[in-house]
Amino acid sequence: MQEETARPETARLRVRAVSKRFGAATVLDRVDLAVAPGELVTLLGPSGCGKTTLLRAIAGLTLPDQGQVTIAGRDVTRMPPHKRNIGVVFQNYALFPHLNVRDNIGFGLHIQGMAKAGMAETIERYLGLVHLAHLADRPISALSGGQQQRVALARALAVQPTVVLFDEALSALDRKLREEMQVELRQLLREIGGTAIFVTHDQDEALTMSDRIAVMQGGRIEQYADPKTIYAEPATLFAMSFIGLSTQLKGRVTGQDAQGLIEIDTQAGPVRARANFAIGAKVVVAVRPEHIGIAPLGNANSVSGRLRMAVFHGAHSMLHVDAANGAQLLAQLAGGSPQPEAGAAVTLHWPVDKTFVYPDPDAAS
Amino acid sequence: MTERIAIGFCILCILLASAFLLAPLAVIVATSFSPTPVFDLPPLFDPGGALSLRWYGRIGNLDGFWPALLLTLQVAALSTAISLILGTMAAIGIIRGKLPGGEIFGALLVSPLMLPGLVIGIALLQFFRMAGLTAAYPALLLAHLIITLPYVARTMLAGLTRFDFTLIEAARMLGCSFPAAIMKVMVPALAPSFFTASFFAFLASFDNYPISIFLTDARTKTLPIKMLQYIEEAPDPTLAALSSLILAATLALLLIGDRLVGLNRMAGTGD
Repeated sequence: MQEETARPETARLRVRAVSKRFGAATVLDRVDLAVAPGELVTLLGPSGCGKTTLLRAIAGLTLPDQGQVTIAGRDVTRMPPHKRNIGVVFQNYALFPHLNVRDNIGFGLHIQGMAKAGMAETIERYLGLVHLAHLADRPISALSGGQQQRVALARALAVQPTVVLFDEALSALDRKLREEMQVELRQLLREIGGTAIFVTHDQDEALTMSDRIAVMQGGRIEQYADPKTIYAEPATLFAMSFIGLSTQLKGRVTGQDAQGLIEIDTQAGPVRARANFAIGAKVVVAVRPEHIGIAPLGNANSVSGRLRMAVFHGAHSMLHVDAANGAQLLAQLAGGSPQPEAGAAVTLHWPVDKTFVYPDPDAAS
Repeated sequence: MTERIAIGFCILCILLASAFLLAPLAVIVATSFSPTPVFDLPPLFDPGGALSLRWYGRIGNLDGFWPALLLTLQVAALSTAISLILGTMAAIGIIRGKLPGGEIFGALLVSPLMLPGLVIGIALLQFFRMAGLTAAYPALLLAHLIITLPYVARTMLAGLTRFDFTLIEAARMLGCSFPAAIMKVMVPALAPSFFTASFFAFLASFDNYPISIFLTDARTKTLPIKMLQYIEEAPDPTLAALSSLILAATLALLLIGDRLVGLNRMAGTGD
């Protein structure tokens, strides 16, 4: 262990410039990714963004056209999957229907040729770890979805893989169970010091589970950072749109003031922001709803509009405001705070520092 | 009320149909224990009459019985085994190969089931003659491949449609090479389908008459053909005894099948 931390290269898993094309479609476009030992990383993106293909390339189930995959410093790019020592929990669990719970968990150990006594002990340990000791002799068909999920997890972990991959592994569970499993899974992986990569399209799952999130779109990783950074400082408009809610206003950069702030003429009115854009550039201004309020602020942007509706969410309320030229803004108010009536004229304020500016993806390129 | 009467009527129909299907079998079994040398019901209700096993003892003395039985078993086992391999591979190809028109290939494989055996028999006879295949045994084996393949293809297509190919990937991630994953996961997971396919294929081959009759010669005759010959020559209850034995063997296989697979699944009436 000490040796590993002492080495400059500490990544448990490293993906370098991996590309994959299926016919004319580029599914992975020179993707780089590094995962540290014990880290939980999520590949987050919409379907078709390449996250599953990246996972399969790491597992060895898909061969990349270009690039390199290394695990614990070893180049495994051309290595067949059964030699990689990677665990996978599949979306549909892929449990062996002809084996019971115990034999499913013991399958990998059996293949490794582990001695009977050690195997029984290991199986018991992992049965306990996923709280299934009482179901050890049941056939798979007699288990609920959540229980099957646990068996799949125990089966993948029992062989002590270098990295565990989860392919939309929680998406088949209902919401409540999924949230429980998220917490449990994270705790469990922490306990055993497991290194894991999750693939999901569920932003809540990504924010809850991960040490770092790789936001993917169009075969590329758009941003790779911890969940707080991803949420608070989205690097791209896609990252801003895919995770959390935001107000987005199209506009054009008109100038720069003495403090170095750029001025943008948006559809809803003039706005200032701290960003680097040439004058005349077409941009999209984005703001999180929790940064927008109805109380006046110093050094803030302001937009006037009319309250279309206020949606009560318990802990907070969401105001939907129509501004000039069809602009729509979202403002989040604390649940107990006084609210304007629907149809009332409101002025929204938000700090200049919380104003994000991105290049307009629709601008002629 | 009307509905109950209707359901009652349906149940009555089931009972009558079952009786109609089973009655001849009951008669043949009863006849096999008859003490008299004619096809006759034994004196079950006659306290003076005795049941007899003499006809069972005479099965082995039938002219050419053992070679015919051996040939029939051999052809059935071989054709079933070969069909099992070919049919499974064909089914995998159709389901996984994403062939354009894969369904048509599936229908073609199963089509001999829908063709009259007589037509297939005559067609094969002509075809083998033209191809210069005159030996009876290989001709018979090839013909029985055509008889057994549809049963295997049909069952394996259904079984593979339900089979989750992710299981193979799961096995590979747990340390199995690709061939090992096939042997350790796919084969056992499909075992019920293999059993069902073999069962029906074997039976279809074992009792085939209309196709075999065109392809046998004086020395190469399968059991069903021999049996018809026996009944023309000497209609005594020995044949009833033989039929009862075949029935018993089939029942035994069915019981084993029920234990291993479940009758519903074998008959295709359940999942």
